[in-house]
Amino acid sequence: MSLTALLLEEKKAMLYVEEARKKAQEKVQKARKEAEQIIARFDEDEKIKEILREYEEEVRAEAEKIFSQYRKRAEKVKSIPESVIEEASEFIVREVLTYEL
Amino acid sequence: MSSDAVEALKEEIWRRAREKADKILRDADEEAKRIVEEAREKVERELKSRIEPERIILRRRLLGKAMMDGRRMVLLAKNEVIEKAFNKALEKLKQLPQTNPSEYEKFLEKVLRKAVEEFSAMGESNLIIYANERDLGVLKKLVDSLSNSSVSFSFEKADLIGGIIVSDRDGRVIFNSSLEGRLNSLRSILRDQVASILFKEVEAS
Repeated sequence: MSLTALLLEEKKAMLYVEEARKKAQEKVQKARKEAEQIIARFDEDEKIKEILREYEEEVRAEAEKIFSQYRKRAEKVKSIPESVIEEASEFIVREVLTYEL
Repeated sequence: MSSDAVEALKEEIWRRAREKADKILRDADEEAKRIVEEAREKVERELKSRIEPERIILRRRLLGKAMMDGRRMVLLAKNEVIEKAFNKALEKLKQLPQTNPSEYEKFLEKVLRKAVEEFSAMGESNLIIYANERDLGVLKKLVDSLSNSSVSFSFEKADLIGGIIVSDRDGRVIFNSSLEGRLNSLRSILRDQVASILFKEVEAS
């Protein structure tokens, strides 16, 4: 009697494990489908355009920084004091009068 | 077999079954996670391999243009200031006979002697001296003071700010020592030195 009960219990337990195995297969199957969808959903061209658009904005900001440094430099060049221009013009006059051509 | 023993065995059967089932489900979860993760990584990899070259090109193009435009802007600004210095020098040269007559006269004498030396070396003895009206008188006196009596001179009025142009009779050889001629000839020669005077502080900062 007790042995029969044990065998029955063993069978139930095996069914329980079998049920878990089925669930596991379903999970893996579901994951495979999801993976397929991820790959299929991926519209390469559109995604690339989007990423490049974002990157372009980033690089444009960087380029503007570089250009503004040059702009500052150009402004500095243009604001050279008159006394320095005077010094340079004196040098030119001296050379025009003395340079051995 | 006592009923306690049977119960103990039943519990053991179920404990093992639950343990096994849990492991199967845990493994399945991990496997599922890995499958999805691999799909995402694959997409990322493909994306990266297509995007990276385009990113490099885009970056080079935009930053290259910014640098080129920037450099051109600085260069134009420098040219403007250099031009200002040369224009100022030209104004000073125009005023030189009034502001520093002795220095100007020394200059006239020096270039006249040089011209005579060079033409004499070529065997030319008839020279035409071109100068502005103001300078012709000074030049005639200077010519008289030159020891080289084998050369004869004639004078022509020219629209010069100063200095002289000397030529032989036929006008085949010309010695241009007018102030504007010298300034123009020296423009490219002096440019770097003028720039270093003008921009020494800008370059240092």
